[in-house]
Amino acid sequence: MIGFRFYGEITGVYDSGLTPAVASGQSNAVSAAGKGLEAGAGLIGSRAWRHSKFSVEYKGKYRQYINSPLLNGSDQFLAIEYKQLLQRHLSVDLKENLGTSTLANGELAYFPVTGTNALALPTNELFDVRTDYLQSSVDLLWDATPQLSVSFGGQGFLVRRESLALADLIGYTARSDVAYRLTRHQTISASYNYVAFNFQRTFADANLQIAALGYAIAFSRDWDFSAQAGAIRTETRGLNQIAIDPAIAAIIGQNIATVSFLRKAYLPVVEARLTRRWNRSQYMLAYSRTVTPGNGVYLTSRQSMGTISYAYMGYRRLAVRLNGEYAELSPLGQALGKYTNWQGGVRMTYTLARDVFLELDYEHRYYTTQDLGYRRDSTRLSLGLAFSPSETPLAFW
Amino acid sequence: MVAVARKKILLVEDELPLLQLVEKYLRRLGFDVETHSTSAGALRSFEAGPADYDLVVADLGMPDLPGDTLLTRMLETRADLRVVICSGSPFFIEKLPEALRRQVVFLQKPFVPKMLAEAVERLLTHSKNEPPAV
Repeated sequence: MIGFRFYGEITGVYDSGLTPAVASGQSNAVSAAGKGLEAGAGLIGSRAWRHSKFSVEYKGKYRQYINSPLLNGSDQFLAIEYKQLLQRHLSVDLKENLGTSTLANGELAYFPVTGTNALALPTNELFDVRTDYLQSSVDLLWDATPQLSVSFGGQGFLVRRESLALADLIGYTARSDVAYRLTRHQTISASYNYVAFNFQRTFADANLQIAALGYAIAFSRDWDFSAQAGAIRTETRGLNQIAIDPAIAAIIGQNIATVSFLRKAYLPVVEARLTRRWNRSQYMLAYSRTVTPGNGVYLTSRQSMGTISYAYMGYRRLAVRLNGEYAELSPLGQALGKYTNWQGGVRMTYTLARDVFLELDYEHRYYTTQDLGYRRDSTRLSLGLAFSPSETPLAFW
Repeated sequence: MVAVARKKILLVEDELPLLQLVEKYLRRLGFDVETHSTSAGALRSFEAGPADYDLVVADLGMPDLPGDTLLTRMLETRADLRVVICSGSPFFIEKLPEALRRQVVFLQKPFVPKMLAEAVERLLTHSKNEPPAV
């Protein structure tokens, strides 16, 4: 079986709050409005053989601003997956995700990222700065019985940010998972993950051990619910700069001291997702509370994130996708206040003629950072034409 | 094939998390690193085999024996020792005897990993008679 679909698009774009990275010491990132043109293309598809399956997804976009040429650039995203049946009950799954973006959060800004093991994908980024990322994983899956399956795997990931003021990341994960199918519609699971973050350009690292129990149920053909709960043991190391008492500062001649920290903590981990499907629409609610490697300013942080999305397809020629997200980062060890992000958007496609669509994207993002003073309140709007010889509406890509 | 010995660094820092982070970074750069969280321990190891070390990275503000005293004692034992001094307080390298300035680099805290790598590389790749670039 083979099936590939592609699209091409050209759109006009307006962004009210482009925010390049600033040198440290400045209290506020300077945002500027930009308007310009974007040209993009994408491909999604898969091919299956008797014992293996290959799937690929690519999205690329080049952006040129009329009034902010320094922020011109491209976003590229590629996801590849290859599954191979090694023996009757044993298979291997290889995944590669890589991309580069000049836009904070890149294309993913439009789509809620609910997978908490997507550690390299840029979410909650503060600045519109070139960010490259790569995440490779390999998993071995063994179906011990029709009910019981066991998997072992690992992944390596890296994030490189162009700004020297932001930390880069190299990390890896080792994991194991046992799932038991209670009934046709219910599965329970237990998992263990070891995660290591090694930050670059700064002295900081973290080790996480995550143990969780999971439960998934399909209430009916249209309702799915899954949840995981457990605990994370975190061990984070790094440096903090602290203000020195003015009286002492006057004597020693310096206002700030650098101190190192080693923090060990036990935190809850929670993930839950509810999906409801109708003939022509679907909504999804997700909540997670876990630990992330941060965004280059915030390093290892506790993250709480809630997302909601709704997709509707079928009112004559119209397809619509709505999404909203709330995220909060609290650093584990760094002397920084909370980062809070609200964002929401709508993506619409309207069929003008066979395979030709009118596209409209609107996104609003608002974030604040306690202590640092960075904040952003921006709107991004794009309108254009797309060509896609596919039955899947572009709003769902 | 000729085996190339790895350069050995003696790292002295009383803040344990920083000691571990710097050790990890220097190991990643390919160095053999011996760590001490006290000056006394570092001095004992050094005096037992001064020729074993290619470089010393030491914090100036050690609580048991000040870093400058530690380094003076080490330099008395081995005059050609190369040293990276780290401190949150200013340190004027001009106060050192001129002969020593060529083998000592000062890093003001906070420094980023790249600055440490450059300082180490500078000291290890330049001969004693050649002043390290500042």
